[in-house]
Amino acid sequence: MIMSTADIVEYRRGDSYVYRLTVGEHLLVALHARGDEPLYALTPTGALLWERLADWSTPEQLADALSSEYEVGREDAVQDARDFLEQLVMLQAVQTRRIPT
Amino acid sequence: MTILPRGVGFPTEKVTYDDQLSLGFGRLIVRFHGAEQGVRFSIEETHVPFVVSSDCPAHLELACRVGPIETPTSPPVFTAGESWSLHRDADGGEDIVFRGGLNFGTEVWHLRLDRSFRRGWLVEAPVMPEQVVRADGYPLLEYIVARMLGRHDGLLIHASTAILDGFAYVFVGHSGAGKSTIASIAEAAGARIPTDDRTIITVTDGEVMAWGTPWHGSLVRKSPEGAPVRGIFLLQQAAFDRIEPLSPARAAKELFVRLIQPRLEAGEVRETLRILEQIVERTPVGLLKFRPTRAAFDLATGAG
Repeated sequence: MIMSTADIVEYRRGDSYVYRLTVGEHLLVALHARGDEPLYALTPTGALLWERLADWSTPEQLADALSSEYEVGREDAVQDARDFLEQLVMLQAVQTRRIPT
Repeated sequence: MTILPRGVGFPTEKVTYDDQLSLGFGRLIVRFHGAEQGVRFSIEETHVPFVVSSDCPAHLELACRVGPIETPTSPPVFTAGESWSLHRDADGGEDIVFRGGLNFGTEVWHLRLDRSFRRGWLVEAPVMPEQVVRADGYPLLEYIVARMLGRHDGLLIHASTAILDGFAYVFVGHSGAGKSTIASIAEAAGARIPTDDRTIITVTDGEVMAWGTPWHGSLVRKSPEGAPVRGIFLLQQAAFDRIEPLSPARAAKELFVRLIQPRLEAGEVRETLRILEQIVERTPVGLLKFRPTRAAFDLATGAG
């Protein structure tokens, strides 16, 4: 199938990382000894987005989640969501799919 | 039996057992028994103190034999270099094949654990002339215990432990941090050293305990002894002696990256984090900057 550049990209967290709130820290642990670092600490906003990524989500939907919890402008929220997703993609912590428009 | 103080690289005697053998690590018991008549087991003499009565109920029962290994047909879900590979069964069980020999070219053990991790099967290839199951084989036994602890309120960490006046002081660090050095100092100060390289920590009914293990280290000071933990110290060699308390949040992260855990199953990792949380909330954890002298150990125990 040929994808248009206008396709909607959705993201969902994969099963190769484990999240747990531990002594107040939002810890993300890499399973299967993935990568060099076994442990990452998320910010509270990162943890919010990680929870939201249990379901397929677009950056815009994630931005909505941020806006509903925090006083942040729409543009900043979308950018924050995109930046976070970019890091998760680098860690291979999320799956992606394209929805043709 | 007296365990001779032999160092790394010196041969140790093997001890053999007929039909069955139970080994205890912390509060965890693994029982090896013959899957058929006439199966014999061997362990190095350093593991003999970890033998427990076969009357003790085991957390894991392994039916064992010597024979050819049937390599799992499913593709591995994880490989640890060339040394072992993990395959998952359709029923949720696990198959692990451990390799040894030149370039890890020989399949040595095939361990199969059922979904509950309460029962398993172990086959050792007939690679040794004795035709026995080496219950303490490396990395087989340490792998089993590390996985089981993740399901039984415990964890395994790079640490030496000193027991003094009924309390355990745990010294954590990667290779070269000074675990054996501080253990030697502690021993000279009258402490007992159940391990100078790998410590089991358990939390039962809120009590944090540290236990010895038979694994690694530069000296053969190994016993299964455990004691309530009075302090956990991350080691950092320095030109002075000082303890810098760590917040529970930082302590949890610092300890986590020093665990020996394959991180293969999400439930085990969550459970480990839960145990770690209980440990750092109940036990003082500090960064011990130290010189290799008695004063550092006294500082840790509060005697300095």
